[in-house]
Amino acid sequence: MHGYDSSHALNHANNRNGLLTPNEKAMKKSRFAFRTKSDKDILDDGYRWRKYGQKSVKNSLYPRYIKRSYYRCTQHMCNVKKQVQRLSKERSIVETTYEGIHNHPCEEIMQTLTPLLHQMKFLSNFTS
Amino acid sequence: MEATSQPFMSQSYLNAQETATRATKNYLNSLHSTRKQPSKPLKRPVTSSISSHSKPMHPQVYRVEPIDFKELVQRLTGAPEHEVVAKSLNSLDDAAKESSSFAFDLPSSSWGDLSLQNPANLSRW
Repeated sequence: MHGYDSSHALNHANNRNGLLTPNEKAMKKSRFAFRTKSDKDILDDGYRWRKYGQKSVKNSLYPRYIKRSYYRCTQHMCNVKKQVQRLSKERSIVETTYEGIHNHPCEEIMQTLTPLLHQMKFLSNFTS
Repeated sequence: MEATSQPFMSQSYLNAQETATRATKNYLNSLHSTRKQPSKPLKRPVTSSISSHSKPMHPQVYRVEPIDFKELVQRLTGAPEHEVVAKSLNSLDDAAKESSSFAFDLPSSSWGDLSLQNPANLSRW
C-alpha cells in the first residue's frame, strides 16, 4: 500500500557513501525499548512477527545467560525489527526493543481493509 | 675479579662471563618490570555522516503496563496515522472517480469513516 520502499532505500544509502536521506535517518534512529511485567515473553502489539534469531546474552547475575530473540515484521517491504529478552536484574520483566517504523497499518486494520481493498481493486478493473 | 684467585680462568673468559651475567640480569630485570606500551594514536571522534552506519544509539526506555503496551507501541512504531491509510484509500477512490459506469458510488466524503480518527478505539478490537 505504502509506496516507499524502505529496505531498497537503505541499500542505496551504501552506494551514496553512507549519506542517508531524512526518512532513512528517521528509520535508523527510531529505537524504543519497552519494559513490561509479564509472564509471557511475547506481547501482542498488533503486528505479526517472524523469528529469525536467538542468542545467549552473557549476564553477570544468575542465570549466567539470558535468551534474546530476534523478530522482524512479516509485512512485505516493512523493515521493522524487535528483540525480546528478560531483564537480568528483574526476571519478571520483559524488555521488547523495537527498531524502525512500520509503513503499513496494524494487523486489525489490515484484516478489515484487505478484503475491501481487493474488492475495490477487482471492480476498478472493469472501469478501464 | 682477579685472575689470580682463579688460576684456571683467563681474564677474557671472566670478562665474557661477566657480560653474560649482566645480560642475564638485564633480561631478568626486564622480565620482572613493566614497560609502558607505546601509546596508540588517538582516534578522532567520528562526526561524519558515515557514522550513522555504526551501532545505533541507546533506545528510549519506557516502562509500560501490559494493558497499555499495544497502544503505546503502535503510537511510537506505527505508520503515520492518516498518511498510509488515507493514501491507499484515495488511490482507489481516484480510480473509481475516473469512470462513470462504476457501479459503486464512491464520493470522497465516504472515506472519512475509514480514516484513523480515533486510534484509541481501535486498540479495543
